[in-house]
Amino acid sequence: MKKKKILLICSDGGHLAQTLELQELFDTYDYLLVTEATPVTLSLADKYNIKYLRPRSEGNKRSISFFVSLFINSFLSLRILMSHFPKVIITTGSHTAVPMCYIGKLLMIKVVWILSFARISTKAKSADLVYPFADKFIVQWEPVKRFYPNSIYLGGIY
Amino acid sequence: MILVVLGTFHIEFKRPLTELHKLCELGKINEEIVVQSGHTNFESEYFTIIPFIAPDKLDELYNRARVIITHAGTGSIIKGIKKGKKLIAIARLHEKGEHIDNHQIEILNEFSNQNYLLACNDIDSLYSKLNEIDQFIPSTYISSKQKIVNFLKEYIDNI
Repeated sequence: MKKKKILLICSDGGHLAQTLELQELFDTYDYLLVTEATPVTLSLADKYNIKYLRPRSEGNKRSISFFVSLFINSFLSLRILMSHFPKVIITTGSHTAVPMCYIGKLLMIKVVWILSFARISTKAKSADLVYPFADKFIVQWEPVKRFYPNSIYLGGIY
Repeated sequence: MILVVLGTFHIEFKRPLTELHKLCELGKINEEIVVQSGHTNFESEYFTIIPFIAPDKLDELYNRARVIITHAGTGSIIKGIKKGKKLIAIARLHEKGEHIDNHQIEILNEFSNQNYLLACNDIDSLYSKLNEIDQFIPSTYISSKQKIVNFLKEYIDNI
């Protein structure tokens, strides 16, 4: 029986570390992992079925290069979905995943957002953009549920 | 060996390195120091500085380290906790231009309260934390990830 297609998308760093905890999903389904292209993530190419988006620009300002990256990543996200059309997009955040979630939703793909382990009692900007339409929104700590009343608390992913 | 982990986020985090360099200059630390520096630019004759380290090599460094000084990123912390390593964690602070907000303080406090690591809230206290860490025995981390995995599998199977 053909395995169901799933797509997992995340930013580098802790978001990726959390996604890699879902190894059992990689083993069970026809998965594709999507993340930012960085020195560390590029080294994962032999180990995982992985595609890359443009990484975040330096610094924490919403500069021109931030919006250029956003535009290019939106296009790349659409292209990835066309070649690996999943039943569900699962993401641990953060902003890297937002275009994919929007485009996926428009294409009637289910969207599951897992709020980062780091968010114990504060909201996350990228999560706020997807929470309104996510099919499932999972939190890892109880205190943060108050910001996301439709969320499901399931404990830590680590 | 002291391993310093600054993570891969696209903002510098110099504070731990500046303090460690100072302590080395004063002769207070005489130990090999390896730094995973990420996007932080720093030079010191006392450190081996590597910006980005492949996961398996980083694993080896974690295993080898006597103590790990880490930014309060979840991945960096959990890696050490799962190995039962001695960790000193320092939160990247928004007001110092080290992160987009102060969320690292939350995980730092939570994990410090649960005795998984020593929190260094004031960089001047780093030296005393390094002295304290020998006596520190971290709690054992127990994963509950199967709950999320099972939920996702059931969801996917029923789509």
